[in-house]
Amino acid sequence: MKAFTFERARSPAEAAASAAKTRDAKFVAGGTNLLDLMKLEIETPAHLIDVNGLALDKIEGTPEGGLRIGALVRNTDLAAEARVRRSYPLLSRALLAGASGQLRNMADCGQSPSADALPILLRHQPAVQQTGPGQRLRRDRRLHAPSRDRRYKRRVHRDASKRHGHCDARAGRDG
Amino acid sequence: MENSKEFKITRRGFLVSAAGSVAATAVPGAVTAAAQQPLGVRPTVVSKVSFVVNGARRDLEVDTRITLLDTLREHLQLTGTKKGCDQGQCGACTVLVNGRRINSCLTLAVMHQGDTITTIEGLGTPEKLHPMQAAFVKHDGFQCGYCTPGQICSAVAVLEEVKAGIPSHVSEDLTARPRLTSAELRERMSGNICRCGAYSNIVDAITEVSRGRA
Repeated sequence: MKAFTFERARSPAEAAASAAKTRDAKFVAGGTNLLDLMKLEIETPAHLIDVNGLALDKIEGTPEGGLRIGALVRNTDLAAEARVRRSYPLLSRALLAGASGQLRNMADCGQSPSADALPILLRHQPAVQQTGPGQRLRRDRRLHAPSRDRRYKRRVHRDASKRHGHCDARAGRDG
Repeated sequence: MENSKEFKITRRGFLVSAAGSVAATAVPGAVTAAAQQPLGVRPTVVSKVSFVVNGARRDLEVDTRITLLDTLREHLQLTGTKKGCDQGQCGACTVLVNGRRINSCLTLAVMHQGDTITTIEGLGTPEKLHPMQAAFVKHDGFQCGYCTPGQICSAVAVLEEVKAGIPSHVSEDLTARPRLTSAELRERMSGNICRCGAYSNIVDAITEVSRGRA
């Protein structure tokens, strides 16, 4: 693994600002994908920003009847959440079909919604809320299912990892 | 075996001292290599981290690259936690962090500032085994034993997850309280691989503990 400097971010704005000013910086949350790739030197960040302290681990109801899922909610917690089990059973099932109990306890929904859960999330055309460097850059952008957007994988990956301290998904119900 | 008392050396002790002597003879070469470090090689970065392991606070200065697994084994000499695949697939490195089971090979030590970590050494002692450890012994839930610390840490967490009502891939009704059937147990323990194939005895051991009879 290539050597890197390390910091614990205390706010989304701080994390975003640090990523903007540091060369080859990456965010780390669950770490299950990133660490694996770093060991193989496929990923070689020069600076790692730990975002686990950002308190983005809440699941809240929205006025429209959807859910707002914090980027740091772990796969286990999203799958087990009562509203998800009741109203979005496909999402719960998809999360539980992926990886192992140990990995689901680590993997966050912002960066690792798992290959099984991603299409289910996209089916609900979630809006992703972001925080960028500098001023308060906030946009709601709808993500689309694969049939509508062939580049969905790249977009989701970019949206969820590179520049954003905060990502959440708002969606209608299953079925 | 008469000599064993006056000539105390463990296999681990022998390996460590052997490795030490090799390193000592290699030092001049290593210094030369460092002096000729090619451009673009990044210097090692050391960072401070503090966490509680098995009830004791540990303040460490570690290479930012080191995993929690290697920190436990190499810095804290807690070698009960094993390295199998080192990529999060075998479960031999399973430990409890803040009460939840994770793969310690896929997380950095520096990511655990302030966390509470429990390894197999923290669950029970040889004199006072944790009920899950006792059940594994009673039911012969292992052969070689390499995966066992991970299996036991994972099993302890599985019972907590079921108690907390967390569903699994094989739960028929997502909204009902999960029951610990054999199928549920096998699915929930699927992140721990046993090369010896002691699975049926492992299931027996965990089932007994879940029923409070260990």
